Amino acid sequence: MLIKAFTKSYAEFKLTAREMNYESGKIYAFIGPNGCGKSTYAKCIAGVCAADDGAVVSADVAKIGYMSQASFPFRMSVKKNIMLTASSEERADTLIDKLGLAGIASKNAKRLSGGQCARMALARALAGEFDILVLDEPCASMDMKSTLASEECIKEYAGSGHCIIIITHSLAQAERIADEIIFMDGGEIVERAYSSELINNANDTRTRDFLEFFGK
Amino acid sequence: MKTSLIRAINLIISPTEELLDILGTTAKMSLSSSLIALVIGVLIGIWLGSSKSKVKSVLIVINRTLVGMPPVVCGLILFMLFSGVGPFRHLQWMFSVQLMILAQVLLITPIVISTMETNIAEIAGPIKENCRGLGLSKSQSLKLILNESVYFIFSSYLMAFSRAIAEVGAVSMVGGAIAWKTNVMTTAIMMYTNRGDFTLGVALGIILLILSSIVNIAVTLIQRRLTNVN
Amino acid sequence: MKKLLAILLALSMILAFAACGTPKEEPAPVVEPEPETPAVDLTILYEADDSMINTYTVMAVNPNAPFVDADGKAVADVKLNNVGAEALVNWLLSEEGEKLAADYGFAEYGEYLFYLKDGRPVSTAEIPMATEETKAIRLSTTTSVNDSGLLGYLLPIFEEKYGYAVEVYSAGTGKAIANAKAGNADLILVHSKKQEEAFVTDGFSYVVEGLEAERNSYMYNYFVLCGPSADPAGVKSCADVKTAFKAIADGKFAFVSRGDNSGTHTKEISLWPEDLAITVEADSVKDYDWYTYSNAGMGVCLSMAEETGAYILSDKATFLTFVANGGVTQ
Repeated sequence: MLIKAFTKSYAEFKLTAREMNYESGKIYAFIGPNGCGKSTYAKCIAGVCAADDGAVVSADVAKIGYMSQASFPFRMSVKKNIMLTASSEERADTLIDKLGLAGIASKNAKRLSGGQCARMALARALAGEFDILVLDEPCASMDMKSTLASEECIKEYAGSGHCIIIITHSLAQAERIADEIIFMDGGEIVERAYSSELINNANDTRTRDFLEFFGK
Repeated sequence: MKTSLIRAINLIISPTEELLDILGTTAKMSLSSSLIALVIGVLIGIWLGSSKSKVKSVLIVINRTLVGMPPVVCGLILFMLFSGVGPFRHLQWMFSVQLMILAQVLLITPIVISTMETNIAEIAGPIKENCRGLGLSKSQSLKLILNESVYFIFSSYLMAFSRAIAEVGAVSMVGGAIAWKTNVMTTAIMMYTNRGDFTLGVALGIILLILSSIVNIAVTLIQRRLTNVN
Repeated sequence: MKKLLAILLALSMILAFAACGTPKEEPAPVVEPEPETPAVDLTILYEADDSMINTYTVMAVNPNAPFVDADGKAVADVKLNNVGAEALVNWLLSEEGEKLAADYGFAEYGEYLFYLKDGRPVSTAEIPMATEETKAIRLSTTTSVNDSGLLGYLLPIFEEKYGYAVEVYSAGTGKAIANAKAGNADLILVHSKKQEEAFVTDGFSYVVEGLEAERNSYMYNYFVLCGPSADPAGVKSCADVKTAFKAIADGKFAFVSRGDNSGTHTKEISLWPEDLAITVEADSVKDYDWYTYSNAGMGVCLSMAEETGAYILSDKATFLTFVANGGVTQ
C-alpha cells in the first residue's frame, strides 16, 4: 500500500514526507523527538487534516483508521463506544475482555480514568475494519500491564491482515511490536529499517544521537 | 411583603378565572416560543459552532449583537410591521399571542444560538477528528455531537424559557396586555402596579417565580435522567 | 422605553415598599423605639373646579380614514370592524349603558366615579347581535376608565347580551389615539379634547348613524390635585386651581408629572402659569428641578408622589381605586 510523497506546512513548521510503502499484516513504529512531525504525518495520511498536495493515500487503500492522541470518550457506555466501530458484538466483547474493560463495560465513558479511557479508545479503534490503522501514542497513559495487553491486541490485529502504523515515545515498545521502525526528525523521515537493524546500525547521525538517549 | 405572600398563597389555593387565563396565556407564550427558539437555535448553533469559516465568524458576531437587542426595539419593529397600517396587516396578528410568540422567538433564539455555538465550538473539533479517524459517517458524527450537547441543549432551553416568561417590554408592545387575550404575568403585574395594587403585583411575581422554578426543576430532572448513561 | 422605565420605577417602588413594610422582628431591648417612617400621606387637596372637569369621549374609528404607514405612505385597505364599533358606541350611549356608568363605583368606593354630562348624546339605535365577522371589537382607551374598573364592570354586560368580545387596549390618551391611527382599534374612549378634535379634523372619526357628531362626550369626572396633607404650598385655600398651580410653582414645591402625553398630562400642562412655558415636551421643564417628568403610568406616578411628598394631578377615579387598593396610605 502506497503513501505518496507530500508536504504539510504550518506557520513555522514544514513536514516533508517522502513516498512510503506499507504492507498488510505488518506493524510500523514511528519514533522521533517531540515536534518532529510524527503526529502531523499520521493525521495527514489518516485524512484528518489535509496535506498541501491533496490526497496522499493510493487508490488501493479502501479504509484508513486513526486513533488520535486526544481520544474523545463519547457520552455513552464503554461498550456502546466500542460498538460504534465494531463489525460484530463478538468482536467488541473480545476486545473488552482482552483489554480488561469487562468490569466497566457499562460505565459512562465520560467518567473513566485516563488509563481506562485510553484502553477504551484503543478497543474502539481496533474494533473497526481498517486497511491501515494509525495509532498515535495509544499507550501513553497506560500502566505496564495494560500496555502489554494492548500490544498483544495490536499484534493480533496486524496478524489478521491489517497494517498498523504506531507512533510511540517508547523505543522499547517499538522494539517489542514493530516490524519496521521509522525515525523522524525536523519534519523529515530520516531513516527506515527493520527494528534490530535500525537500533544496532543506524546510518544517520541524528538517529544515532536519538538512540543514544535510550542507551543504545 | 407579608400581605403579598398571603395573597399569593390565597391566589394559588383559589385562583380567580382571570388569573387562570393569564397563567394559560403566559404558559402558551413562553413554552411555545422557547421550544421554537430551541429547535432553530440548536440547529444554527451547532452549524455555527461545528466548524469555522469567514462567513460563520461574521454570522457569530451578528448573532452576539442580536443577543443584546433591547426587547422594546424588537417590539417596536414588530409593531410597525404588523400594526393595522403595517405591511403585514393582512395577517391580523396585532395584539395576538402569535405575535408575542414571534417577538419572543426573535429575542431568545440568538441566546440559544450563542450558548450552543460557544459550547459546541469546544467539543466539535475533537469529536469530528475522532469520528473521521474511526471512519464514521457525517450523519453519525452529527448524531454524536447532538448526543454530547444534550446537557447544553437543556441549559439553553432553561435560559430561553426564563427570559421568555420574564420579558415584558416586547410583549406589552405587541400584545397590548389585553385582558382575556394577551395579558401575561409580567404585563398583569404592571397593570396592577398602575392601579396601586402593589401587593397583588408582588403576589403575581411570587407565583411567576414559583412557576419558573417548577419548570426549572422539571427540566433539570429530565436533563439529569437524559445525561445519565447506562 | 416608557414601559421599560415604568418597570424599573415600579420595581424600585416595590422594593422600597417592601423595605419600609417589613417590620423588624428582633427582640430589641425596649429602649430604642422603632424608626418612624415620615408620615407622607397623599390626599385630595383640590377638586370640583370647573377647569378640572375631565370629560370622556367615545368615537368610532373611520375605516376610510387617511391611514398612513410608518413612512407616511397612504394605506387604503385597513380592516376595521365598524359594525362592532358602532354597536358598542350605541350601547355605551344608550340609556342602559349610561345608567350603568353613572352608577358605577358607589358600591365599592362610597362615591360615584363618573357623572353623566348634561346635553349628552343618547342613542336609541337598535344594537345588532354579533356575527362571526363582527364579534371581535378592539377598543383603544385611556388607562383611567380601565384601571378604575369601569370597563371591567360595563363590558361583560354588553358582551353577554349581544355576543361580542371586546379587546381593551389601555394606555395614555396620546398612545391610545396613536394606536387607533395605526389601524389597531375600532373605537376609542379617551379624555383629551384637543387630541380628540385633532383626531376628527384629520379624518379619523365619523358620525355614527343616529348620532350628531364624531365626538360623543358623555360622561365626566374631575381631575384632582393631590399632595401631602400638610399642604406646604397652601393649595387648599386657593381661590381656583390655576392659583393653586401657581403657588406650587412659586414655592418650587415638588410636583410629579405623568410626562407621557396622556389626557392627564395634557390637562396638567394647561393649568400652569403661562410664563413658565411648560409644554408636553420634556425639554420645556429641564430647568425646573422641582418638576418630575416621569414618563410613566398614573399608579407609578402616584406612588412616586407619595414617596417624595410631591403634588400631583390625577383623575379622581384612578386616585380612588389606587387608594382602595392600598397603593397610598392615607
